Amino acid sequence: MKSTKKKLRLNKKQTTRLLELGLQSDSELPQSNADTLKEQLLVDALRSKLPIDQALEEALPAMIQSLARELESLSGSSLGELLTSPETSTEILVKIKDHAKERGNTAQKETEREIALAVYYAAIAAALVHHNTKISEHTDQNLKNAFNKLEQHAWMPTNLRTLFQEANTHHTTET
Amino acid sequence: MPKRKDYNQSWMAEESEFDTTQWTKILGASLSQSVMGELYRKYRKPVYLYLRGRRFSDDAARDLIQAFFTDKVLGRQLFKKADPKKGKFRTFLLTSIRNYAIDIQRSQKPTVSLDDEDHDRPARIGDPAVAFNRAWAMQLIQETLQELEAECRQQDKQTHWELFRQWLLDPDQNSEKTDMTALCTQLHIKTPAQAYTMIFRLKDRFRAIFRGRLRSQGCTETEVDQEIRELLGVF
Repeated sequence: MKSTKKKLRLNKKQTTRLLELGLQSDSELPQSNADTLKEQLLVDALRSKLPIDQALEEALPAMIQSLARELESLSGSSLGELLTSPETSTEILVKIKDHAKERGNTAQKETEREIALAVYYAAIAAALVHHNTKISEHTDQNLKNAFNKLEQHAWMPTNLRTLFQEANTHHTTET
Repeated sequence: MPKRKDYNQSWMAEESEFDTTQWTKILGASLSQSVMGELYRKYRKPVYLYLRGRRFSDDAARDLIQAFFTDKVLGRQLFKKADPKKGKFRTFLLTSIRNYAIDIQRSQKPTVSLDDEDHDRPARIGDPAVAFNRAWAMQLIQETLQELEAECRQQDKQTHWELFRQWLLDPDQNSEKTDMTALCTQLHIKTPAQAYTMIFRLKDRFRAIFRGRLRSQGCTETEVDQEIRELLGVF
């Protein structure tokens, strides 16, 4: 079968991406694929905007669907934006945390549970960073341990990784 | 400046079916026209950009490419000096064209036409090696993508290719413009997780093909990583 021989027009960023792809060794493949899948799914979840149309809502992981419906009043804000914005109130962050916890406890697949866990702790971290407020009953040490572990995951998006790092530097007042 | 000759240019126009350029083919007993055509097709752009970076005009650079490939390559002067044990083919070719250009400029110094008014000049005059290496990298990537696409078609994986192509051409990988769910709908893929798995498989194949092409150019496994880092450095 004949190849089309058609060239793709690539910009600098796309070219660099492909060159970096060539750097990974074969031995890294199995783990990198699993991590990359988690990263992509989490990034997709964080991109979810409100309000959400029916088709998209049905396609989202279940844990995000109900949360999205409850947060409809925050039109135009994605979950990622809510977690990283200083403007998001602690009340909203508590809602995000509670939903993530519920979904994590009922998740059927390990990947879904890990994503829910990331969102759960991200909400707690956001409250610490933006409001200097602790919205969790976990001890400070347990939270530090969780943030440390999560920020080191290869699949953690940069915005959440930064959030976890910043949360570790905060002293808190409890709600 | 070599006078433009009436070269037998059939090998320049010939489309070669060879997908790799290997030291063994180049250094083989008979340098066939198809291999010559392959060499010219693959490397004329990096060589051209290098010459333009050395301030040869567009016309002069085109003449020199013909002369270089005909006299040096076809004439086997170039590859008589080649030793695959001494490194990568890219480095060898870059050194060869550099020496060739220096010889030309030294012999023709008063009359070398500079590209004073030529609008086709490279963006970074003064870095001809950078221009050469960028073009080299782009050529390598395009060949890899073409091989990957052909492989997908042969294996009836057109959907895999189209998904990979759209992922690759995504203007900004982390932007909110990318909607994997919509893409799944468009391509009749059941879930985003399945789509990402398909992309991963093609990323694995791209990696394997790309690294294989570098090895065929004389790189050891360790040198492949070094080569890629050097190419990354010019972007």
